[in-house]
Amino acid sequence: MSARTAAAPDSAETVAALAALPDQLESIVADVFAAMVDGEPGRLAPWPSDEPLWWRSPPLVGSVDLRGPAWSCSVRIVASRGTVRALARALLRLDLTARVADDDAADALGELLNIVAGNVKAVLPQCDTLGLPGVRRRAPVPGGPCLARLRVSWRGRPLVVTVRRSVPRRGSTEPTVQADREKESPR
Amino acid sequence: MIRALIADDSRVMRQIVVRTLRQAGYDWDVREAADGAQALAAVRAEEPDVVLSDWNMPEMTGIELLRRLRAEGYGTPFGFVTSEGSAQMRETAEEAGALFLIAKPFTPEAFRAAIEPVLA
Repeated sequence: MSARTAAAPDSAETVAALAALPDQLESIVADVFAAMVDGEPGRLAPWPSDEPLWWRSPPLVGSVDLRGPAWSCSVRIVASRGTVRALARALLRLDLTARVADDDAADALGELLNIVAGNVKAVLPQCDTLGLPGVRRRAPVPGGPCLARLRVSWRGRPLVVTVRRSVPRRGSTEPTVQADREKESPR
Repeated sequence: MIRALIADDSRVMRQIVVRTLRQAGYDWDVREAADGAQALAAVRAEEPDVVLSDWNMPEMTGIELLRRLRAEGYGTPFGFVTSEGSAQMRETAEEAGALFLIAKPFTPEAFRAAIEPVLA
């Protein structure tokens, strides 16, 4: 890809941080769920590698950008609408049958994403700006290469967290997320 | 009764902070603001005993809010509750006059440990 070949090579510090990112992401997500969502550890498990992901209801996609002078990335969480409502109930310590408004469900996913991304930012060198999270009702568009991908089961429900490198636009020095039309498969 | 102002653009997070404050103890009278500009107006209208603010907010960020308050002469005890807790951000917060920075994810114990010295 010509836009990427023009980019400067990653520093040794960045290369080391990216190599450690998958394990770091797993640890961050486990800590965030234990402290904020469940109030206790152990409610998250890896999604079985031989079992395809399924969504009980159409997925929602939360995305937030981490930007830096040398490179940028986006952190995303994909979960079904029902799972996002369940996350909101858990975050707010509501009864399992409590009604959750669409705005509150999206807000909960965005805040969860914001916490995960803030902690991801802390382990990535030269990512010095955290954007504001956005939540949308459509399949995620891929950015650049996937740096880390975590498929987990939260109380039996699938949830996917990814960190994708952003691709600078051709002729631009500003790293931006490449928004093409290709849909990302949850598998 | 301790009068707290909570500034966060997430309504869900404001509710979580309110709950965590109550779990941490003390008797709280809480007002909420959805961004730094609303929080600034709320302090001008009635200065609280403590401000708990997110860092990253639309309209006016938490650090902009803190600097504005200090520039206007308000010495209101101020702490951040934010998803970013890097050493650089802690230094920036402290230089601007923040008394503490609680990084998310947090626990009631972390809140108590950060706030108790401020209330003493």
